[in-house]
Amino acid sequence: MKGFFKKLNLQLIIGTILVLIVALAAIFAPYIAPFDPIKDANLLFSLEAPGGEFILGTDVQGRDIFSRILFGARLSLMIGIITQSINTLIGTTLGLIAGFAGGKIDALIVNLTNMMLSIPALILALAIISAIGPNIINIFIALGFTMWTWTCRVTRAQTMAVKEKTYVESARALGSSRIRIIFRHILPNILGPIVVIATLGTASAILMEASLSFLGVGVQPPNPSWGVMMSRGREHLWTAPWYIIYPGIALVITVLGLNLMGDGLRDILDPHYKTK
Amino acid sequence: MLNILPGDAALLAGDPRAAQNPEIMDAMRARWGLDQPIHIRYATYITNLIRGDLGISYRTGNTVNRLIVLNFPPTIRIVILSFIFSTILGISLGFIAAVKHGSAADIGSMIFSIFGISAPRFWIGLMLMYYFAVNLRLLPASGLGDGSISYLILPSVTLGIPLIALLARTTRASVLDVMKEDYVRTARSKGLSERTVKFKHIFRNALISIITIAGLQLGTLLATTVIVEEVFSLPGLGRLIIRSIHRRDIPAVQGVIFVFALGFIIINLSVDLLYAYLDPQIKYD
Repeated sequence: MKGFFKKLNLQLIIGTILVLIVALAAIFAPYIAPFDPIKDANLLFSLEAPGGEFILGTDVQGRDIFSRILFGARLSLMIGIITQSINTLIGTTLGLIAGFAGGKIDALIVNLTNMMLSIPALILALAIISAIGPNIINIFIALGFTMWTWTCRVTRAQTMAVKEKTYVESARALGSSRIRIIFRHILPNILGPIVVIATLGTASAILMEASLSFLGVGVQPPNPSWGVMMSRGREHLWTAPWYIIYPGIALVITVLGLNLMGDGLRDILDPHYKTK
Repeated sequence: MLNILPGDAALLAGDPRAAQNPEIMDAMRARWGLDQPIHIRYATYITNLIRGDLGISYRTGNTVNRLIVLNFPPTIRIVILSFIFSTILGISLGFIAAVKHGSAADIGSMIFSIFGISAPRFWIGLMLMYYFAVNLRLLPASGLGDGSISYLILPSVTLGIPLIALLARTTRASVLDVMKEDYVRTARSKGLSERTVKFKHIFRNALISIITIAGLQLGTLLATTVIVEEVFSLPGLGRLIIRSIHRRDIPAVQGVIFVFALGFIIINLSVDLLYAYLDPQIKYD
């Protein structure tokens, strides 16, 4: 553990701080937010400039943008974490099976991964959403089942490398079962790269949700998704730029934090990757 | 896949008055073959696809082929424009950062690139629109206007910024890697000028991995035109697919996805071949 702290780098520290800020905002949203994100609409206060009672201004329906951003953090983090969990589960399982089993099973999984990678993730997500309709559950499905390919590739490559190590060989010689070898000897040794991919993947899942919501095929209004807020704010860019600026900054902070965290973790956890 | 969906397409495409009349509805379903069972519809679609026929759009009544041809030019224009300038900018930025490793230029370009990767494209687009079109009134905000290039500048920049960021990072890492190689030291000790070493030995060898990344990103660029076209109201393929999704115009959605996937595959294949050409160590049997 001491070695871990010695290797702490600036990227990881800044990233973790940014992510913590967003996470705290999400957890304590009901206590910090001065207004209700959905119900406190009052057309008298439509498109008020930032300052005074409304720190970051109001939207068209007169709702407080600051409160909506706080609740939007909940939605973004929830979607990011849940979809990335699905991705990690699918990707790691398939990657372990492919890397460990080899042969025909490996070829099958590799082909499936390549097939998924042959269509851009955004287009694939759009196709799925257009088939099953836009709502939060379907976003989990569309993103959770499309973005696992990188996890799978990394897990497979790592498993294949670790499989040949002498400690795995000796475990096998001692008569350990395959399940035991996978969970006791392989998985713990490839956890680092999986954690890195999961962190970066959460960032891209959050970006993807925002993009889908912005296009009107993701989270639906009146839910306070950052993507939805910016999509609504587009028409008022001329008169109320704060409508778009602040939700965007919130999104950038979140994604930047996760990306920095991922990069920083990679420097520490991934032995093959050296900082240049 | 898209055929297994709720909502009767004939109902959405048709006139609400027509929906009252079952005979008209049946006629409409028959016209699009929606009265056939699903496996027959799929077989018909594949047969037509092989013949190059993507079907007829429910929403407009036009053939999907025609819709794609009509909406293709703006998309391909912004993709090419942004690809050219972002590869040039991204690679030079990364190269300078690596050569002046640890300098203010290096740190600055790395900060820019982490922001460029983290910021959503639509937000970058809207911010650029706000600054250059609303505040400074330098460039047109949206649409194609008279078709002059000034209408394409903001969309292409928006599309390209994440690519510049990514390429700057890759180039920097790759150049720093090559700089450690023995042949670079040999070249220096031979007394070659610093300029020759930098451009002939370092840059050329670093270029191989950069081209791979750039090529693979060209496919992503194509896909993200969906977002950029929506932001800048450009009548391209991306806007076509979004509108078609909202109206459940399945043949159009399928058609555009097919074109995107095809483009993506062709690009990736070309990158693989180019890679083999540039690096003689790689052989495809």
